[in-house]
Amino acid sequence: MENDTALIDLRDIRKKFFSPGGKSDLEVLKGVNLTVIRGDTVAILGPSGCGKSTLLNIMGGLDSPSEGEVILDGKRLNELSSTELAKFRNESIGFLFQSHHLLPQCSVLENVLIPCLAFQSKPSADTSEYAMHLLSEIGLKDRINHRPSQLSGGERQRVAFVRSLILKPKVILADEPTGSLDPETANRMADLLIDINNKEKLTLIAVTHSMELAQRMKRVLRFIDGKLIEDPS
Amino acid sequence: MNLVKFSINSARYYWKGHLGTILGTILGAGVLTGALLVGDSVKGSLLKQALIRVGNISQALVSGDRFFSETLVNNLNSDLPDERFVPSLLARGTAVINDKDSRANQVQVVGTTESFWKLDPSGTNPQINEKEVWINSELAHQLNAEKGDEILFRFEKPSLLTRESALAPQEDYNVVARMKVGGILPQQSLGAFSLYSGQAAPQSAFFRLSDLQEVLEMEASVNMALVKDLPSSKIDVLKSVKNHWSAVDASLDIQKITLPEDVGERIQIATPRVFIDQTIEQLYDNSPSAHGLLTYFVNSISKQSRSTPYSMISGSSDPELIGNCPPGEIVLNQWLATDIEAKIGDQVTIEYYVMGQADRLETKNYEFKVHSIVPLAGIHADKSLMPDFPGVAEADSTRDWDAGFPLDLAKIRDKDEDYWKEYKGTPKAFINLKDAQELWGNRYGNLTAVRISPVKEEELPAVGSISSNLLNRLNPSDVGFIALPLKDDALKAATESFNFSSLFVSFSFFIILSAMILVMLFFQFGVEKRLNEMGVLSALGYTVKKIRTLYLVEGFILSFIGCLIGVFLGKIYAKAMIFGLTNAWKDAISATPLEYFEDPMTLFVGWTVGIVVALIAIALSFWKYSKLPSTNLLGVSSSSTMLPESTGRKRSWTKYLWAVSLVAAIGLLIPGFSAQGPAAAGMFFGAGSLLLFSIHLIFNKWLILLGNQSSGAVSRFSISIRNIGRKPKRTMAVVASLACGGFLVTAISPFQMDASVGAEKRQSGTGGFALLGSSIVPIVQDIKSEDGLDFFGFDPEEVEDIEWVPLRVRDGDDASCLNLNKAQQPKVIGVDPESLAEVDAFSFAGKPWKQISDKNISGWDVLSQPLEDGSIPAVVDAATLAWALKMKLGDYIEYPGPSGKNIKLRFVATLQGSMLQGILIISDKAFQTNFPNQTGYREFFINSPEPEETSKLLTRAMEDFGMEITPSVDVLNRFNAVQNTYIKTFQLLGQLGIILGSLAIAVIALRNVLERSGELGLLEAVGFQRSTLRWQLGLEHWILLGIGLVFGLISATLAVLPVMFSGSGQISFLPVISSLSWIFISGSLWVLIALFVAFQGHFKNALKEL
Repeated sequence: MENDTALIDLRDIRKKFFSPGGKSDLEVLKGVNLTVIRGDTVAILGPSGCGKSTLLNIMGGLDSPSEGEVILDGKRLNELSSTELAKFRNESIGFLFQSHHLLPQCSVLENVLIPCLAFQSKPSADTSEYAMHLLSEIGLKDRINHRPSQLSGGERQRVAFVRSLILKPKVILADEPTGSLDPETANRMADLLIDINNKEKLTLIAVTHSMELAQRMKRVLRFIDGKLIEDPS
Repeated sequence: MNLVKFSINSARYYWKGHLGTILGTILGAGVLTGALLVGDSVKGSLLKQALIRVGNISQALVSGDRFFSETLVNNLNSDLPDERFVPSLLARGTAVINDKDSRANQVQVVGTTESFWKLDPSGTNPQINEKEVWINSELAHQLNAEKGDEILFRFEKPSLLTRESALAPQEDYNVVARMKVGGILPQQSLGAFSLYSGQAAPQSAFFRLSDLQEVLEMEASVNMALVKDLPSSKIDVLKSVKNHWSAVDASLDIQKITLPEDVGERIQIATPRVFIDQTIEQLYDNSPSAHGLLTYFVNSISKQSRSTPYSMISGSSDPELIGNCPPGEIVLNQWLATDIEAKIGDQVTIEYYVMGQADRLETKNYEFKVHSIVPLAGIHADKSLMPDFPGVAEADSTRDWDAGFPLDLAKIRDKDEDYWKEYKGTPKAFINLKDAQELWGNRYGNLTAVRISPVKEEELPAVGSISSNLLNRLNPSDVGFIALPLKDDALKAATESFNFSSLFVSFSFFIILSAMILVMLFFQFGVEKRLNEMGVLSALGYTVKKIRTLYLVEGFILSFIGCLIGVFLGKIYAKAMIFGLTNAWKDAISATPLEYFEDPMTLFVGWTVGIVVALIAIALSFWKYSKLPSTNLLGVSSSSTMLPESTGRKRSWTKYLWAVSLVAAIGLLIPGFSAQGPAAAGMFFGAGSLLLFSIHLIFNKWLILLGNQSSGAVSRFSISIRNIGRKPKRTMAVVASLACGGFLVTAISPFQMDASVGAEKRQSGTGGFALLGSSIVPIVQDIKSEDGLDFFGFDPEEVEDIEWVPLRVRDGDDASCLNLNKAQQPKVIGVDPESLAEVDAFSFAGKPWKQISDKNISGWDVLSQPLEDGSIPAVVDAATLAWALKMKLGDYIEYPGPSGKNIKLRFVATLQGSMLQGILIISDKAFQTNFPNQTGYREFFINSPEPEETSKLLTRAMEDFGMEITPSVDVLNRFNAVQNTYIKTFQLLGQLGIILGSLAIAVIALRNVLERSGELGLLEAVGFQRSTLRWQLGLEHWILLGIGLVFGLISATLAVLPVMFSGSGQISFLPVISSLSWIFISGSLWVLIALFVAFQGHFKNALKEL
């Protein structure tokens, strides 16, 4: 079955950062190995600065590892050109950040449709319809022409969530998706994430400090000394 | 939703932030368009002036120093439906209004008919009455003349025989006319008429043609015909002349001569100019029936102690006249043989005058053996063998002779007088033509007549048939006719004129650069606030290219709007520049009247180029960000102080670049001290630039060290210094731009020239000559010769110490920097190279042309060096060659030559910064050969221990020649004023640009405050007062300002060392210090304003981000 096959395969991922003088160089990731199957939900836990976000960025092709290999949906990311990588990111990955990163100059609908313009001159009618459908699903149908500044924090994060879904990606990479939300809104955000996983069988990987969110995931991994360890609990 | 809409949304949303960017584009496009419009205005004004100068005249038929008949002009018009040819007489003269004690020494006088004014498109139509003159506004201004004033004009009297001939009369050289001013012609009329383009209209007076003909004693003759411009029907003027001319128009006198006692007839081809053109001589070279004749006036014919004074001797190839007299022998008439008691086989000596070296009259002798003695009858008694020597031929008595040489009338005996009365100038002796030509041939001709004899028993051809045959074989250009394409040349001169667009674009360089820096900084400032947007787009799958496109489209929208406004601002800028050029900077354009002109295409170009330049600036401002990993842009990077591995290491070779630059600077400095002139200046300028580069690199290293420093004494000052090192690149950008600006503005200052410094030196631009003289009537006498002293009435002691170098002049376009038009045929002067080589006058710029330098020839000797293709070597001022003529060594300019063929003047060497700008200099010898119609000398290099006294002496003595004497320093300073004004303009606009550029430091101050708002909030929280913080930040930026300007000043001081040591230029440190102070003050002010604005916010909010 397709769903049982590995969607993400990280092999011995290492990442180093250099200080200007070279005296305090730092290795953040020290050989991370991870396989995520399609439709899985994975939470990655760890203290600040342990390399969670770096790993997520490497997984999503936003950053490259110093050593190791990232295979996502059968593609070795380090073998892709920058354009191929961008296209792959556009079509296959949905990003969700702690901060919503909505563009203030665009309306809610425009923000949702922005990914469509990366490789097309304008969104297709189907995509626009899909955007309306998703916004309607999360209760923002009446706010499509509003600017981000006119929305609450939770609403903005929901718009960002819809934006990550608009091109029907294979995986959602969420970096502290509930980090900036109050508990109630964070809970509703978590519902949305789990709901979409259940409905669309969409793979979900979330870096988080939130145990509430982590507990709702099928797998929980912890960062210890630059390596990922499966949480037995 | 699409990408354009997205960009429009962004531009609209961030409009406040974009105001600075738009302001920069307005400024950049405005200044650029304005600078281009200055070019349009100069070109437009020159075109307008050119069209005013030539009116509706397409061509001018001129005949040099010759005259042709009005009949020819009538005949030329006879074939045409309307009056296309307008007869005119052009003369030079002086004008004086005695009542007002005003004088004009260089007046162009045009005698013409009413038809001339029909060629004036302005509609000016003065009614010039008899004995009345209309003058143009330039002459009116010079003379302070008004309608009704009486002007005394003095002209060179036209002389058919060149005044340089030993036989030409010298006394009767000018004529005067007293005329009443009938009116003053408006500036925008054909009153500005001139054959040549110059920086200003000549001072001109307009006579009725008949009045001027009467004054010049040239009835029914003209020397110019102006051709009305009809684009639909072009005229081949010289061809038309050939179809209609007669012998008199070719300065020929063809007549049948009946020999005395009816012994035969001859057709004689002679000329009122005495000597026949060699082209005509050549036409009869192979004709058996034609014989050349050269009759000359000799001082004496002697045999031992017996002598006959002042006689004519004819040289001929006609056997009937000389029998079989071979060269070296002479045939005497009986009268002479009796007088000197000579018989066949005796030796006789003839004494005669010729023009020798430097046009001094020289007495020569030649000995002949008497070949035969012939009776004074028949062909040997023919009076017409003597040409019409002016001052001699028409004299009734020998006492009335006015020959060109000093006559000792005491030598003339009664029998000589009797001979003259009975036989006039009948030659007393005959020699072989070869001997005659060897003794008396000259550049004006080798014959005084061609005589055609009947062939055997045949009858002599009719005069008409000889005449038409001759005119058919002759071309008008062979005898000095030239058709000047007046309008084409005028339009060409204006359209190819000096490019003021590029000049003002370069003058405005710093303003444009500053505007672009502002565009960059403001846009970057805006982009930096939106970095996470780039990160989001990148994370959403936008390629780097796509992200750049989005920002470029946004930038295009801003540039589009900014440049559109800028174009209109450009019009104001252009008008301000024109105001500057017609007022404070008027020396840069001399007397050129300047008006505002605009070409819509220029506005479009300004707008388009403005957009492109702004887009480049915008692209540069965000390019680096778009390449950053989106993780950095989103602010989710693991460590802001950590660098990705690829940029973590510096290339090692750049570490020592500062040392390489420093060594290179020293390397240039050492030979610079021993070099001279521009080479030295170039080396020091290069050394200064390298030093500046090296200082920057050292400073950069210091900044990096500063950034890594972790301990030290803590004080507010030390904290400011530490803060400078926080953003080394940003700090470097500020310091480098201020230092470069300060360097250029300072280093260019000493390039201002002052001719009075070292003017007495032979190597200077004056050649060491204190004075430059210019006469309207050519002077042929050497003032130091006996002849000259006598002629001008000088005491020998008065002129003993005067150095006098005469120059021949062929008028032409002014190719100096004073004339903005492109000179088509510049003025040519002929000089004796030895006279300049002897005193080593002037400095040559670099080596001569390769073909010359290969032969190890240099200095003034280059003028005497024959060139392989027969072209004439010419020397020209280096600036004239490069800028006015836009040519190089080895190139040439063609001029109409003496026999209708063009001659080439080839540039073989250039002078450095001389007062001879705009002139082509050839050797006197080459000048005489190639411009034989230009008589005498009209310009003079003069030097004396007391220049002022000499100037007064010569001006007074040569007043009738229209002598005008100017201190050489003034002449050179007129040229220098152009360069100095350019430098001043560049400095002024440069300072404006730098002051504007110093606004960048304010933007940087703003950015620094915003970036450090958290830190500032913390300091505020721990008890720092806002004023203290503001002072602290101000200090940081003022230190930067100071460092930048000091770096510029240090490097510039090195660059100007040669000027400081040589004293060849003027260095005034006050304006330099003043301008640098202004830059510092304006920069400080910007910083204060920026800090005031930045400190309006609350830093405590930023504490949350710490």
